[in-house]
Amino acid sequence: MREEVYRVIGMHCATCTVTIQRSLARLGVDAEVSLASDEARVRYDPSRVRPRDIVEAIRKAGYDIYREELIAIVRNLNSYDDERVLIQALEGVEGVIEVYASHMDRSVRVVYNPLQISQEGVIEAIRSLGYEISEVKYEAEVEDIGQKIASEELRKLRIYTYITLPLSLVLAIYYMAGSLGYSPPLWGLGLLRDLAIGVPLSTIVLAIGSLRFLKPAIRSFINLSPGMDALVILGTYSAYIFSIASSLGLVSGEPFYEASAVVMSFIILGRYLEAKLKARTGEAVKKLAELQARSARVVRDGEEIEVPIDKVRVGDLVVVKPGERIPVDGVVKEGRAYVDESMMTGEPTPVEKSSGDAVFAGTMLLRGSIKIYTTRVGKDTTLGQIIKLVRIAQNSKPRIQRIVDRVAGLFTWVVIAIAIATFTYWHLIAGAPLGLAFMFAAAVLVVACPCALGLATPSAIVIGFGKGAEAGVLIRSAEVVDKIPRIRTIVFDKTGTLTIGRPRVAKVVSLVERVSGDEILVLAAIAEKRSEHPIAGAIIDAASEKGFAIRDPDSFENILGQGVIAWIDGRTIAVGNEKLMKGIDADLGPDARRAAEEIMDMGYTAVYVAVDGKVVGVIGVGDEVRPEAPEVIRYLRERGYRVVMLTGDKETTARAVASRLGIDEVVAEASPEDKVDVIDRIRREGLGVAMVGDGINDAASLSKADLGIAMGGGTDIAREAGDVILVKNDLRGVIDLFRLVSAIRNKIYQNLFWAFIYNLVLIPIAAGTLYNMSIYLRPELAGLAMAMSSISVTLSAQTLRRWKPIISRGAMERKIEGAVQAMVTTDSLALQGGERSAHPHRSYGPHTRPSH
Amino acid sequence: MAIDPVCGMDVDPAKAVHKTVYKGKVYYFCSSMCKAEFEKNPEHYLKHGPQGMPGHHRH
Repeated sequence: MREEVYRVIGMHCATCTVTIQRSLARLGVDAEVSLASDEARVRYDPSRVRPRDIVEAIRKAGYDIYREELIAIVRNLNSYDDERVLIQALEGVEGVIEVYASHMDRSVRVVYNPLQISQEGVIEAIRSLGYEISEVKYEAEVEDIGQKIASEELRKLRIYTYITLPLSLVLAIYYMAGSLGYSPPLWGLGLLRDLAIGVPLSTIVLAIGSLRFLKPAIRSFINLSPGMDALVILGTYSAYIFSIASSLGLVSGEPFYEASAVVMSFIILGRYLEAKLKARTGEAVKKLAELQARSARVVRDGEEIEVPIDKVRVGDLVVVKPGERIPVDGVVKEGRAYVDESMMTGEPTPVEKSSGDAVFAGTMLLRGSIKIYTTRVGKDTTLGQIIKLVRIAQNSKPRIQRIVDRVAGLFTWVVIAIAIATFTYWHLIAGAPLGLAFMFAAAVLVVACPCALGLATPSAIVIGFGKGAEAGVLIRSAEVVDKIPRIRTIVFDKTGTLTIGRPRVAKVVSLVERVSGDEILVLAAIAEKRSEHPIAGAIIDAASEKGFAIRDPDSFENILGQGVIAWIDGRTIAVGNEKLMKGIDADLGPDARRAAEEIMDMGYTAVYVAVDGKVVGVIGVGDEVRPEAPEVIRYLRERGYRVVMLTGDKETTARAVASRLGIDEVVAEASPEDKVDVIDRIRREGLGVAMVGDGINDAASLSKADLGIAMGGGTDIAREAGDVILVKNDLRGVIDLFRLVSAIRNKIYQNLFWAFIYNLVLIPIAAGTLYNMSIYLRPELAGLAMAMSSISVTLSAQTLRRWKPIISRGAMERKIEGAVQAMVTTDSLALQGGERSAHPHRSYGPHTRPSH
Repeated sequence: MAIDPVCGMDVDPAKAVHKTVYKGKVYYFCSSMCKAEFEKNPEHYLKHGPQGMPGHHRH
């Protein structure tokens, strides 16, 4: 039994303590929760419950646990085996909640409970396992250091390869020639020959190999978790020692110096090639990181000076010129420019930015020049958050990997046992010469490759999640890979998710012969010019998109719940609903009624336009269905998913959208609490539920669902709920997510399959089971096979880099699809309902911007 | 200054929130109660002048 104290965040009443205790009791954890101290004292069996489960349970209950994290850069975190050792050992340390280790960037991220263990305690725990910490970071700025160490490693391995490979090849050719009867120089000298050629050459190769493998091998034995390095050392050293003993005549049999040397050099070569491939694995994140500017031009004391990016502070005025990447998140203070935001929004056309508009780090300024008031720098920028999120996710492990880790931990012991059994059988039972028995045992040790098992999953995750990030599909954790196959139902929020989230003009009807539709629109736009209602915005946008300049009215009245009345050039323009028309004594007449009914049947809101008390036109305004939404729904339904629409909107409006999209299950008029209940109900039916919605407004239902998919648009990504965030405001991210995860899963299983088959086939052959058919593996060949299997897994994972998102399809293609756009009404059928849409900061474009 | 046709109070049209349109003329109110009262029977108030706060009628 272990006892720990956690600090709970968010408790405010006595029922909170009960809720927490109850959810912990379900895990089999005894808890005493105190409201007064905000602490939870828990007692649990660490062999059955992990601290992360406790934290997860408390978070699911709606509270949080105070945690701290540190990132240590570990110099000798070289291989997958080290990762496994570190994670296993550290997760057993009291107070440690989660551990992520990656030999790709040599980082170990430890999330811990500061009430149980101090930061020094965590560092000490890592050191006591035999690892050297070169740096401790509190933020995920590991990129540079990790990369420096990796390139240092690559350089070292290259030198080792250049030295050992020629030496061992010379050795191999010499002994092979000798044994084939070619009698190379000194061949006949026996012991002297070995002392002059065999011993020195193989000793040099082994010594160089030991620089790389000996320490980790010893460390892994001390930690009782031997891995690849241990097997390499055991295999080569046993062959080496046997050879020396046989040269000295201590044991019978021919020496095989060449075997230990060739194995060692092949394995070094393998590691070298693997390291080269691995450098490409993290490419996606590297590409994102490269979008961050290294320096910025800031205004200090009235002068523009260039400073390194880490010297830029919130509040600084940053100057950006054409062709430059914007270095910070901020608001335009001065100037006007066109900015390419496609990396952030997926929108390929440049966006015009002027005073008051938000701009984002990493986007490219194409034309013009702006001064930006800095609001976020470095890791706090949206780009910085994306990078951090992807990096953390890349180092997380899906369930399958936890199983593989357990297998790999046992694997090495099993291989050592098989090697001993092989030797015993051949020498003592089959009566084979000592040399042959030794050769078989060494071949077993060398051919076995837990590495391929270990690389299978992480390499697919790192590349796959990186590809996702490039496509704007941010996957927060490897658990998503586990969760997706269980999903059967997908629930969509309506407004802002299936629809664009703000009203647009869908139809303009003129009721008077000599007045055109465009004129109706302009009249309405003039009347609405000073109104801030979303419908006003839609009408003004539609008019200015057609290129009309909109005059200011002489005076203006905004009548809540009805519409607006404006006066211009002695005329009165009224724009609003039926009630407003009644108020101005305007007769709707059969034509206007028919037009309005037609518009409402299509699911839009009808807005009447009257001039001097006479109705001249009707405008249909509605929230547009996203152009890509029908494709997404079709995709999911074709694959047998149950699709549900969940909305706070009115039943009739919701049904109109649903029928356009082919969704037949609709839950309308649902409050945020109702939404959570609906998700819960479907979950209880035993079906995995994914919820797609807005990361802030739908946060509760997103976290209730088995899989929460947040539609981006939010700039504070770290705060958004959801296991997956679709950064580019494109619903097809859902399709890409499902496609990508299935590609990742296939790759993982494929890699694991080959890795297992490889070991299952080659270990018995190496043990000499087919010796009587003259099929066997010399240790040299075993070493080559081993190196190839690691390389082939890494190489096979690289094929994931060819994965293509459908989001990247050209904008033209989308526009054509979008031409057949379905339009529906907004949240509220009442014209001037008072409630604003989900996007209050929409801009009306430069021509209509209200002057400040 | 405009006058609330129901209760007779002065209302600033520039600041008024409660408004309605009747026969093409905009009326301003001090509260949603006055506005609701007016909309029930506008002619009554326009003919007879302000009647005081709604809910305080003598019957």
